[in-house]
Amino acid sequence: MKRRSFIAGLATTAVLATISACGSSSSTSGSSSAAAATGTKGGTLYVLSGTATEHWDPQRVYVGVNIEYGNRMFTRTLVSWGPVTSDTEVAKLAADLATDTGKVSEDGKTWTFTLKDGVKWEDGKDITADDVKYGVSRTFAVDVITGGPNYAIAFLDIPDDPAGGSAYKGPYAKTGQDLYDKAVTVSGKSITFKLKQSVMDFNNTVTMTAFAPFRQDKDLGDKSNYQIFSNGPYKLEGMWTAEKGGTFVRNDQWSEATDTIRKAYPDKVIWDESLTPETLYERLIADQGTDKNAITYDPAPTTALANVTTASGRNSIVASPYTRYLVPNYKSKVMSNDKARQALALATDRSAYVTAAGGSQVAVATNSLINPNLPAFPNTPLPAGEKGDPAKAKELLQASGLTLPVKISVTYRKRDDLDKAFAGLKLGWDAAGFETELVAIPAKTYYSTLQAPESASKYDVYWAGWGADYPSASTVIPPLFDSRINVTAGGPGQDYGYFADPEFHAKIDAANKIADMTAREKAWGDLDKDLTSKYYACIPLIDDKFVFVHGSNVQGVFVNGTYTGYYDMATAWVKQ
Amino acid sequence: MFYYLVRRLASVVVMLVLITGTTFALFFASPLDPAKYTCGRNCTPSILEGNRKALGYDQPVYVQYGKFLSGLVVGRDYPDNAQLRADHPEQIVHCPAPCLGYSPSQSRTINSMVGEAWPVSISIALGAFVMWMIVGVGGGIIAALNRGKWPDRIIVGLALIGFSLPTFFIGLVLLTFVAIKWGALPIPRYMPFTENPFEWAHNLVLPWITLACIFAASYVRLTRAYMIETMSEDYIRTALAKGLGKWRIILRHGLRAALTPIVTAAGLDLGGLLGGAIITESVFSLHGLGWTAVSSVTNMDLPVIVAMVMIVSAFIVLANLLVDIAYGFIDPRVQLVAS
Repeated sequence: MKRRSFIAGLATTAVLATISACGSSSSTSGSSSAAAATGTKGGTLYVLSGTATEHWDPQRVYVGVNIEYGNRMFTRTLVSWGPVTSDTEVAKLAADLATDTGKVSEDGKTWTFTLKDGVKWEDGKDITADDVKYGVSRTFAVDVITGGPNYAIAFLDIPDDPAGGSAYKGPYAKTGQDLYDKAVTVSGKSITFKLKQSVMDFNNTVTMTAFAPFRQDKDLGDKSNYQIFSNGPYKLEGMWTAEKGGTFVRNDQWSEATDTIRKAYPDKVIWDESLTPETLYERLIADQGTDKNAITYDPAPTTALANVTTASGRNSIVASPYTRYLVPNYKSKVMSNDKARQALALATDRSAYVTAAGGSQVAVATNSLINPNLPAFPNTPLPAGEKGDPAKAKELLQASGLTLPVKISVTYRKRDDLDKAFAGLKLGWDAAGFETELVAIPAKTYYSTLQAPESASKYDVYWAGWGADYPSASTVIPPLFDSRINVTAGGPGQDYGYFADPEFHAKIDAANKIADMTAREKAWGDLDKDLTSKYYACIPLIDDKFVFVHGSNVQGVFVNGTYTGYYDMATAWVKQ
Repeated sequence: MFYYLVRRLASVVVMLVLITGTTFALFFASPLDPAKYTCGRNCTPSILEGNRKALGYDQPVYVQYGKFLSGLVVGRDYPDNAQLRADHPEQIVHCPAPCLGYSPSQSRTINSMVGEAWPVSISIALGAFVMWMIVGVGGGIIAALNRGKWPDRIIVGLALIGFSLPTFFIGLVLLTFVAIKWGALPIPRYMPFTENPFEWAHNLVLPWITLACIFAASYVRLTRAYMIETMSEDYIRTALAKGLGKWRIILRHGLRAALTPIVTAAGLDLGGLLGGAIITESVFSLHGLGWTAVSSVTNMDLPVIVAMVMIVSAFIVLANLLVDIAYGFIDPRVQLVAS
């Protein structure tokens, strides 16, 4: 999930670097105290944005902000996440265009969704199951519909072609159309997806707008990127201009009776993305004129954090969807030694990282790879407190058969706060008998460096970050630690450390087959514990926090941490 | 004069070809893979390859450059895929000549991006230009005529302060206090002149002041220095002795002679600004050419980078040419001699 992680990288740079400036601020959220139930219709809401929207085409959207805003405004999905009434509430899966959250076969390989009656496009035509089928097919046109998630390609029961990639090449080239028609079938208002393997949380997967309907007669390929064709409560008025924004007005074809998620309170929503995070936060904090009616999806930058607390009652300090962690490289001689990995984990001083990041208001030490926003969060205790235990680690290292000091080379993404954090981590590791060499790699090439095959013989430990695509840990554990879907001759994929264990693979397969959501998420949590406390294949470091501010007239707006971790438009309204 | 113009224009074309060619070559010499910027972190080699092909990055540099040049003359179609053009003509974007290219990250032609950005840059540049020429040259004349007295000291002192303050500082202070905190002027948003001339100016006052500040300061000093120099020339003393009116001497004899170097500087400064006032546009979030250039570099949007380099250099080269032509009119001593 590069898109989201990348944006978060930028945002958290700012957040991490500063909240030290407002170290004494309270960490509770202000906006959660506002009453949600009494919304009134009308008014204009402004979205101030310092981030250029790359795509509005539902099949190309992969950024949390755009998934959520798109879904709440104009791209309804079969299933979505319900709204929340506080920043900390856990959202529930909710039927959206479909009548329920999907019916799954016994083996978890066949999913059927049935469309509601009365759901329409903005031109008044009914949304059909064929529209959904066509929408999903666009993901396969990887040369035109770029940027979106690949879950349709990964999950649908369509063979790969020998050259790599799916044998189905999408609706434009039509190669392999028969294969797609077999995997996705339509009967009346129902659509059935046949999957390669058991995916018990596929109804979570379809909450991504990549599984939203798309009308074939409106498809202009890349030209459709910003051509919003709505089926939600709002539609675009005029054109969308990249790096400037657009205006959304009510879509009179949307029927409130078909929608249990969106309240659609404002009459108009104006999205202005010509700003910078710095100036838009100045404006939100100053709270003048129409800025009183504004929200933002950009987390507060460094410059704003000191003043965020002056916007009391209209700020949110919440867990971000991102977790930072370390991966030992199993291809390195040192890190393939079980005791050496354990020693590294024990000697890891997370308090140094938290301090460098800006203190406990912006970063929280963790020993779980799964983010606290997810139901699967196992909350594994830290192995030796926040500071670690270098003395005990040294005993382990001495028993490992390696000669002390043990040289290791650790990579991280170049950034000021990480320079400090890793200087602190190095002290702990060196005290345990390691001789740490730190390698800072520029941000834009960081992950591609990790994924290059030659890195396996160069580095011993990598820093990395991740946020789940949807609130199921199946978008955390397998994408990062299942070597079968990651490691190829071309590199490690996202299993940067080449961790591969048959027993672990068997447990992944078992977890995928559990039908009950609670039991399944618990299984993922157990796998997380195995990674961090049995194999030491992953050393979680911290969870980031996000800080947001909104204008004083905006009510009923809460961060939906379960869905994407940003303000949820579903219940937002403007005080007149 | 005609042959002179033809020769100069030909050299402009050669220069632009060289500049764009170098930009292309430099971009491809860098170790970054532009296709990677279009692919996600869960990018597979086949998707990467597909994107590279769709964007034409798989072709050799000289082929890509050739296509760029021919697009300038005859226009281009995007994506450059004959199969798609045959099957789905509705998906093809036609970019008419002179086609500057297509931005994959914004899904539109660079011509349309430039079409939206240049009125912004021109509005900022011209308004600021008028402001700083009046303040700068006027202030310079007053300072020169009162050399050593208090008006001179004050003007030169202010100029020094104005010159020392960086553009982003002045811009941020004006934006934060005047626009956001006091609400005395609107937070600048570009409003086309044709739509509402008053709002156009009202919105641009802050960027104009910001940009004019630093230029006015240097023009005060420039004008003062040249005025002092010319006013001590013998022919000024002669004119004084003849009993000519004071202002006639200052404007016709003094300023006109001092103007030549000022016009040179002004022409080049304006030419540079027409290509975008990067810092001012960034501070006020005005999406002119400067802003477009910065965002294209951060996004590694190659086609936009090349087009922006070309446009900015074109403005500078053309401004140079215009300045040279203007010399002939301002300074009678400069004449083209047919050899």
